[in-house]
Parts: sequence; structure tokens; C-alpha cells
Amino acid sequence: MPEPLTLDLVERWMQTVLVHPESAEAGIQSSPARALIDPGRVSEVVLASGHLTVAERLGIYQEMYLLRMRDALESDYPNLARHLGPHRFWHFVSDYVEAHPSRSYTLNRLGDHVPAFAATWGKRKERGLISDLSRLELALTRVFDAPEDPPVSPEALARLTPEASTELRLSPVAAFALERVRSASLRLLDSPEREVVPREAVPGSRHVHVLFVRKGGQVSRRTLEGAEGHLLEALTSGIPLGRALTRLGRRHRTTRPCEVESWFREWVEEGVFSAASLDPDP
Amino acid sequence: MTNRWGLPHLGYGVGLRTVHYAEILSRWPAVDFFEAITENFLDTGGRPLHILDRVAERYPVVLHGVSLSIGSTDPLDLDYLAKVNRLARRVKARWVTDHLCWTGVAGKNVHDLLPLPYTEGVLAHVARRLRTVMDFLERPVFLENPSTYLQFTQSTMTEPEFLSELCERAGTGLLLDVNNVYVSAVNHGFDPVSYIDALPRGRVVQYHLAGHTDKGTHVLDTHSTRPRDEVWDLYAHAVERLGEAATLYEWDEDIPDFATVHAEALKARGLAAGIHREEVAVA
Repeated sequence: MPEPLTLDLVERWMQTVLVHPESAEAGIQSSPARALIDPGRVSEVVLASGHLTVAERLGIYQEMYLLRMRDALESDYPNLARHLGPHRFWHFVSDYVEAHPSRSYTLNRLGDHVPAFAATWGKRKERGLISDLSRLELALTRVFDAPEDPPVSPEALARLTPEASTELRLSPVAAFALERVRSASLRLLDSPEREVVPREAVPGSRHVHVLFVRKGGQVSRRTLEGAEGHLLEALTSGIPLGRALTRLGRRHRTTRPCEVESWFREWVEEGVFSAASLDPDP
Repeated sequence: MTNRWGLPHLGYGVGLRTVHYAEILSRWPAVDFFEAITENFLDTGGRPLHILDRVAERYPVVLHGVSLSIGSTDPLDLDYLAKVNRLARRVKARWVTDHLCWTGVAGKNVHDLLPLPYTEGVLAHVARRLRTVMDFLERPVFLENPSTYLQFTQSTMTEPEFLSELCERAGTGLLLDVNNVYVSAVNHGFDPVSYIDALPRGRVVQYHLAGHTDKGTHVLDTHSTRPRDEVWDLYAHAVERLGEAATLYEWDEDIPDFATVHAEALKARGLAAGIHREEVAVA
């Protein structure tokens, strides 16, 4: 006795067919779809038209699915798409959405797993680079979409006494990201349509920190060399200023106090911090 | 002049699209209203929301969603609905619309407007969920007829019969996409004029107009061109038969400059005004 064609069964079957990476016909014949509705019963579900078979009608939706996923991911990862080229990016998208189908009402979250997925996909020697590139692109998207919160003013920081400064904890604004990546991935990052202002380009293959921050609707990107990147990473992860500076002194013995002061001025000017707190355990 | 929900006829609007932001913010063109795609503004606190806020300060805004998934057998996404509610209040949305469709099941979302079988059971399911959504949002929600590329063997009623009954049971109205009527009519071989004639008068809150692409074996709702003459003719018939209502021109692919898109909306205004004059003359 065949199972009654309930709405739930029809929807589950149709979705299984539509997300098949090859074709609707392959989807109808696939094991997951067969487990729901036998291919011999498809005419009980969908009507053929004068011009198209049942599989061809389903195929209109099936073909649009991957195109839509590709467009969404290309919009968030334009440089990854350009680097891989149309053919490889298509395969990347197909493999990715099979592993990480959208589970949100918005396509804005579709690419959240791309950096982790890229670290396991394709040519082994290239994985680190494309993962880093996608981390930068994801960071950029998140900074664009983050809510606006007012940055802490230089005057508020200047009011702190030197003793209090040791215990100071700094919180970054929501529209902030700091990524430590291979500098080569920066060469692949070029998003003119995002209105990003690249302040500098760093050649080479070493690791660098890349700072993204949005202020007044404008996202800026800056590459931080060695000590500056390590100090900002420590501070924005919640480590009090005194302890972060002690760590810095151990790791970068040649850093001078005037350099640290200059970094702080720049971070505050860029609007990196939203709050300064003396709470020992925030 | 207001309709049965106390909502005004907003006039002839344009879809709010990223490529037109600079033009809108610099010139503040004389547009009756803007329609924003709801999901584009739900999870962003950045520039898009800032721009929508500024637009909403100067123009009436309506929200048009694509993720309600009213026909899915998954539970309603209350987190999504809460965000829609917050956005609607923030921009003082005149009304909220979505589609008669499902977009995913089993916790997944394929982000397409998928068709439903038109049966009594599905009608009861959709009407129940729509009432729940309207209670949650504390405002009417109007559904758009989808463009479809397949029909279900199980269907026991036509789409206009389904929509008419849904309006009655849920106490709601329609966003009638005239291009979608035309696209589905070609794909399924029914008469689009009879479709319009089968809908109840006084239930259309908004019309959509758009272009489509002929693929030979079927036509696709691509929103990439001007509406064809057949769609304009159908729109004129709909206004005459079902009444004048806010009309929005959609262009989502290969979007031209703002003036070109706006000109199409103004063409709809001219057409509707002509029909209105003829009605007055006959009376």
C-alpha cells in the first residue's frame, strides 16, 4: 500500500529532487528521493505539460537552485570566486551547499561556514590560502552588516589615570574584525564594489593581522605588522592593558612606548573601541 | 480613500534597490512609495538599514518578504517573525506582504518560491498559519500569487479559487502580480483573463508589474525587462475588474537607471487614470 501523498511528504520529496547537484531526473532516481516517493509515482505528484515532462518541469527549479546559491556566495566571496574561476567555483558551491545547506530565512548567513569548508576543499597546497581569503571576505561582510555603536572618545581615555590604565579592558565596536592571515591572501582581496579603502598592500607570504572597522558608514581595512597586530588582538580579546603590554614586551622586545602610544591614537581615531572598563571581570 | 483594512491607495511605487541608493539619497525623486525586500534589512545594522531609515522618513514604505514560507509543513519561524515585526514598526511599514508558497522544509531553506498543491487540506493549513502570522504581527499580511513552473496532480481547485477562499478564511487581501498571472498562464495553458475574472473585487491591496523571459518551452519570471504589452493589457483588465490599488514596478536583474524604472511605474499611473476616467464617463 503506497504512502498517502501528504503535503509534508510532497515537500520533502520535491526539496530532495531540487537540491540534487546533477539534474532533476537524477534527483528523482536518487536514494533519498526514492525513500520518499517511488519514481514510478511521480505522475501522481506532478503533471507534465504540453511541452515538458515532469522531470523537465522540476528541472526548472532544480537548475535555479544552484544558480541562486552561486550568486549568493559570489556576492559575499567575490574574490574567492575570481580566484577559483567560474568552473571551480561552481564545483565549490555545489559541494559547499551539499555540506552546509541554508537553514536560515536569509541568504546572508549561507556563507558562514565557507572559511572552514575552504580549509578542507580542493588542492591541499592551496587550502590555507583560500581559507584565509574567505576569512577576510567573511570579516568584511560582517563588519558591513554589524550594528552601529558609538566608539569611545579620545577624551574619555585621556581621563584615565596611569594606575587605572593597567587594569583597563577595551571592547571593540560591533563593526570590527581582526584576522591573522597569510599576507598572500591580501593580494587576492580586492573588492571595489564594497567601497573598501585599502590603506596599504603587503607583499610576501608571512602572516599579518588585517583590521576591518566601520566608522560613519565607511569600512576601512588596514594591515597591522607584528607587534601592533598582537597587541590589538590581545586587547580586543578582553585582556587588560597592563597584562597585554607585559606580553608584548616579552614577545617584541624592541617595541618602544612611543610606538604603542601612536597605535592607540590611531585605533581610537579609527573608532576601534566602543567601551573602556575597569571592571576586573567583565 | 482607504480599503476595507483602512489602508490608503499609496499610488505608484518603485522597489528599493542598492544600485539606486545614490540617486535616491541625492535627488529624493517624486515617488509615491517604496517597497523594500524585508530580508535585506533584517540582519544588518549597517548602511542598508541606515538608508532604509532615511527613505522611510520621506516616503511611505511597504515590506515585501520572501521567507515567510507560509505553505511549509515546518513550524513558523517565530524569530524571523519577531524581526519582521521590529522592522515593520521601525520603518512604519504601511503593510507587509509575502508569497503563497513554501521555501523549504525539514529545517532547510532553498530560497525559492515553490508552488503548493491547491487542495482543501492545503488551504486549511495555509489559512491557519496566515491567521497565526497576522495575530503575531498584529497587522494584515497580504500574499502574492506566485509564478509557477509546475502543477500538482492532486490539486482540486484553481489558483484563483484557492486565493479567493484563502482571503475569506483568513480575512486578508492580495498582492496581485500581474506578470506572475501571465507567466503561469503560459506555462500551464490557462486563460489569464479568466484567472483575473475569478478573483474577488475589493481584495487587491497592491499590484506588481514586471518583465519575463520567454525560454521557448516555458516563460520565466525574471524581472529583467520591461513588462510586455500582454502584461500591460492584463494589468488594465485587472484594474478595471478588481479596482485600482497601489502598483509597484519590479526590476531585479540588469537594473537600469532609476529614471527608467520610475517611468514604468508612471506608465501604470497613466493607464489606471485612463481607466478611471472611462468609468466616470460611463457612470
